[in-house]
Amino acid sequence: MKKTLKVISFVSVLAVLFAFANPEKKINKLVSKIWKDQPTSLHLVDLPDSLDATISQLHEIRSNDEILGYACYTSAFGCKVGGCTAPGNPNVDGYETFDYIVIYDKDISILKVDIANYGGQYGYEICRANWLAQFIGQTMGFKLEDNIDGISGATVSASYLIDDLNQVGKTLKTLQGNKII
Amino acid sequence: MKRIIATALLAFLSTSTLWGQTFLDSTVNSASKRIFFADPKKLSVGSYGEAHYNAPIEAGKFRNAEADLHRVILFMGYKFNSKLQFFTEIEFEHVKEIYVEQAFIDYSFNSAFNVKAGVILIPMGYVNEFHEPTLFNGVERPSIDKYLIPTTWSEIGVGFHGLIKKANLKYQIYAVNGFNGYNGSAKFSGSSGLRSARQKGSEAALRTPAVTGKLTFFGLNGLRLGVSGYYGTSETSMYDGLDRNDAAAIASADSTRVGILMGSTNIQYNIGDFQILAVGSYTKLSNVDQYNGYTGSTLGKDLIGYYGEVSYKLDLKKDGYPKLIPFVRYEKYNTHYRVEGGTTQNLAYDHEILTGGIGLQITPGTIVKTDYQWVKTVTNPKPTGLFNLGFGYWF
Repeated sequence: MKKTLKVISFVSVLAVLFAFANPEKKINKLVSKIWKDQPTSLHLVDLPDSLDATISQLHEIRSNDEILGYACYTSAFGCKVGGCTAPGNPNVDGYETFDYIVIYDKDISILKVDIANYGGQYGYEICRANWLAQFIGQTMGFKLEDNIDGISGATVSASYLIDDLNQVGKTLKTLQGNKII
Repeated sequence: MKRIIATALLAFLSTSTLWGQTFLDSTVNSASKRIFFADPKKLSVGSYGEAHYNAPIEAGKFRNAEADLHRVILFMGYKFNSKLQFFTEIEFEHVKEIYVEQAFIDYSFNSAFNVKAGVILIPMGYVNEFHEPTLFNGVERPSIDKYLIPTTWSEIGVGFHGLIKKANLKYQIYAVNGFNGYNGSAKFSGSSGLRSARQKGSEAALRTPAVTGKLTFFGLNGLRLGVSGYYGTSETSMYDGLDRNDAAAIASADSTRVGILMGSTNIQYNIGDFQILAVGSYTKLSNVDQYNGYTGSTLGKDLIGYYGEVSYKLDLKKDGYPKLIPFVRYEKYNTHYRVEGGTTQNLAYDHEILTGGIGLQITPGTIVKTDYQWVKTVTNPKPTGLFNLGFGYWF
């Protein structure tokens, strides 16, 4: 029994040491996997005021002077640690947010969606790589149980992630149309 | 209420052009998100509960039916910052009994590593973790989730949980206080196993913590597969104040402890609107002969239980609600699956239960349920009936 406790405390210390990573680090890790043999750098985009609090961070991904794509660090609504409100409930008290990263190519087509931080007891199934792969190659127009598979036990988180991805895709298209990015 | 009005107002505003050039759409999401981030709400409240009507039906006998407000739970969460939060569930059971079902702090380092400490749920089986009335079929919780996995089972503990995304796994591991098997008299019994010995974090005796954990695999579409375990030794009041040199007294005290090894699996599989749920649980106890000999209890050595359930979700309207959810469930459990030499095996503890019923989920958070259960035991092979009707809510 004492041995078990020792192992538990050892593992927790290790985990704490490795646990801290900032958004840029996480984005860089994903970016270096997509553009393996190119030097890449992130450049933070100065967003218009009306987008404050909607997208936490938007980066241009460049290789030398060429724009390869965009990386967005943002969040969507999910379930709270202890429970979940039905989708569509406008009362924000019922939700908790989770962070996610979406990486686009220069034409705003999705290359990768990654859930950066999910702590809720319910709905964590959205982290499944196969499910997230369904977004690749498109920008928006995602609909749960239509062109995106339903996901039992994670309807709330899945609905809001999809909603948010549609939103971010549209926003980026508009930003591009207005030559802001 | 203010917040709802504010959200509605913002949703309305965002559809108009008042903001000049806006890059946002007018979804509830974007409006709510704005409010959420502009003024992060730290306190959240909610509730769930169930009212039941149970009518036993037995040939040739009068039986009283029962109407019960089985449970009302108020939950509250407070977010100190983006990483640290507190969560509590206060339960009122049968109107008059109060329990703190959960009360823990959770610190999130990242998805892979979160620390949890306080009164926490033991992650065994399915219903103990997911016990809100819209999350399981039938008015009453399955018997396996009562007699084998003593739901609602929460104890004081500390541990961590997280997601291993590459492997599509969620893990949980906690050190918790164990059962109290002896408190002047036996708390473990032949008929209900370990159930009455739960300490629920209330002035719990704790000499040796128990360890419990669960791995949940979510890598295949529609499938959720959980494997969990629990290992510990039960507590006893007899050790308190015992002389370390008194060998005879120590031997007596040792006879009031039981070693517990418990394993359970839960499989949930969704194919279209069909759902298959299967739960199995096996408990292996040690030192049972000494325990029964000293306390006069009839605790079994091995306890087993499993159930399989098939349900179907039928949308009555295009937008999903109300939904009609018919289901059938077959359960088998035996708290005397194996007994020690000194204990007589009681075949009346070998149960089979067939449940057929229907749920009407009016909205995601409200459900009316009704079902009929046929219960039989090896000694009483002619099934007795139980008609159940219930209402559950969750917001």
